[in-house]
Amino acid sequence: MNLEELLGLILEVDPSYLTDATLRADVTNWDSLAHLSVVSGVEEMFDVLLSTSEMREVTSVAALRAILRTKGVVV
Amino acid sequence: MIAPPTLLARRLGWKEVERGGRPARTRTALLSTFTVDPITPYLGMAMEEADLAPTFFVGQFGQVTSEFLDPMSATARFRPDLVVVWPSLEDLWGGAALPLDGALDGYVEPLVEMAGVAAAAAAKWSAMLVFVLPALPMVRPLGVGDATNPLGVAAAAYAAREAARAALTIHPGVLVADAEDVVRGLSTGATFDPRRWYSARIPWSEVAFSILAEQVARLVSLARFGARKVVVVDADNTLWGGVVGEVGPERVDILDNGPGEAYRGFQQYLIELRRAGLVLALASKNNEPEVWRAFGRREMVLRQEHLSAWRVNWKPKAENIDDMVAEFNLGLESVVFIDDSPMERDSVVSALPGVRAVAFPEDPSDWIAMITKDGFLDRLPPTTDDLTRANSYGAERQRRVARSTLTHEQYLDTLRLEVAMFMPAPDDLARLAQLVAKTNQFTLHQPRHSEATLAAIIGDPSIAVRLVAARDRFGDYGVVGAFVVVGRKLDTFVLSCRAMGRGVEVAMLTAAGKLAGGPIDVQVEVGARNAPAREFFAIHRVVDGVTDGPATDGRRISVLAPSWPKHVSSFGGLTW
Repeated sequence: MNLEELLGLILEVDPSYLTDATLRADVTNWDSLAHLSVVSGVEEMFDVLLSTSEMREVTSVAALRAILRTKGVVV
Repeated sequence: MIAPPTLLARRLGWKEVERGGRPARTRTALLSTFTVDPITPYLGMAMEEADLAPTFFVGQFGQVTSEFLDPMSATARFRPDLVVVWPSLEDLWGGAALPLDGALDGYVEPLVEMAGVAAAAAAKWSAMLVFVLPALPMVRPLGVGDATNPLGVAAAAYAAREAARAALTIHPGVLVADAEDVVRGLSTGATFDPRRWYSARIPWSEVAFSILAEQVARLVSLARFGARKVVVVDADNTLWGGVVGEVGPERVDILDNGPGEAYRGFQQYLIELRRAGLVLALASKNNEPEVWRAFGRREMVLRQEHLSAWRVNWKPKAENIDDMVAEFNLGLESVVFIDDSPMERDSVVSALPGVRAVAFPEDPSDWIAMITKDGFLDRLPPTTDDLTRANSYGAERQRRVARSTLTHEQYLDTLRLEVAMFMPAPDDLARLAQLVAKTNQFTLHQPRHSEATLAAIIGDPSIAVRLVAARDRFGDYGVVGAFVVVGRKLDTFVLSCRAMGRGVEVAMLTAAGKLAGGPIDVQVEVGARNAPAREFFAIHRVVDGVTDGPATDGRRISVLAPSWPKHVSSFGGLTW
């Protein structure tokens, strides 16, 4: 499962809608509660742990991908 | 595609269930002092698997008491069947300094107050309440020194929890779950997740939510569907180490300091289960005298008199279990079968659907922990009535001996059956609710009133409610039946299956007829297991002035009360 597919399942949107250009603010379902679901989802799926500030820095799909890269996860 | 890990898969699974749009049966409100939303997928899945089909309303965090008190609150308008309340002590103590050197009262009261408000609202809404006792706070300024402080964080938390437990459990039907049990099973570090707390007021990790959800679902399921009632154990390599037929009764292992002692530990546990109301039975393929010789050994903890039935022979175990369960007048779904042989377990489960067969780990030292973790023998606190069940099945064996040599009428005459019908007192509400909720065979099925509704019915002078106790020369059945008559209509009519077929139901219908003052309107729903009730009412059905009409098909029928059965006498005075 790639990152877009995972986010699509958690946020209940079509994965094709999600690209690196997609901002949190662009996705209606990506509210603060869903954000924690996104964080738990990637943490469990890719076996990483995000810090409190990293959680806040995830403001887009690209930002999430970049944070995962710093943890050695290439998705 | 890589499969998602377990917890994530469970969360996604719940989204799937919600999208599926199946009709919901349990409207569940979740109220908490913190953001409790993450529990919903786990609670959803656990309740779904327990056949409770939930749909959720999650209150805004911090809004608990107002939701209960405001008659127009979102929770009130949701009309929940189940309310789960989960406060945290950190939130309830919010603002105040942590317990250190002041009186504990101020730390105890907020939780007790919330418990009282929750119980009152749940009763008003006719909803089941699960109150989650909060976990001990993680933050303790004295660290290891907190335990030495009688006014410290742990002391205040324990005091608040116990006061709340006491305030909750005086309300019959209120269920209590314990968040501290989750911490016990995981560790503080794995339970609390401060990152999530500071980001979104979610104090707990996903795994911690998932475990608490399982516990809440188990509790609700126990309250709704009842617990397993019978444990059928094998003897060889279950009660003792080794096989009687191979090493001899004097050589099976029940010795000190080793596996033998673990087998005895398990025997002691079985006796505790029996005290808690479970019925113990033995199914063993052996020569019977050898088994009893092993039982006669000084080291044995479990004794023959602890067993309500046994079959020690070479017949298939399924046949023996079926036979014993029939003796208990219970359904197969009330049975847990414990046997070390996979072959025996498979053959019993395939022959007797509903029986739960349990495979234990190889080391008997691990058995009790496994039972505790799995929860298949969990029970709610026993009512007095449950506690007498194990004894009453011993009496049932004697009744059957009496029956085998007589005609049915002669048998009934020899029983010296006595019944008492009485109006329920407030203390009887729990038993009345239990009878209504759990009776599957002798019941009209609809409506199956909640405890709160029953409390209201009891208080309504225009409605006649009777509880029925019965006893005979072999023993006391306890309170086994209940009925509700509203005008000419029989609203509820339940009789425990262990008292069926002896005339108690006839006496109950006679009394119901007196209360209705003529023919009674009855609607017996067609349920999976209530054939005994449908057949009974068909016998007394009146069509064009003639009784014994065709079997009931769920429609409203008219029933003529029979005359009082002559082999039944009364004790304690009849009220109708």
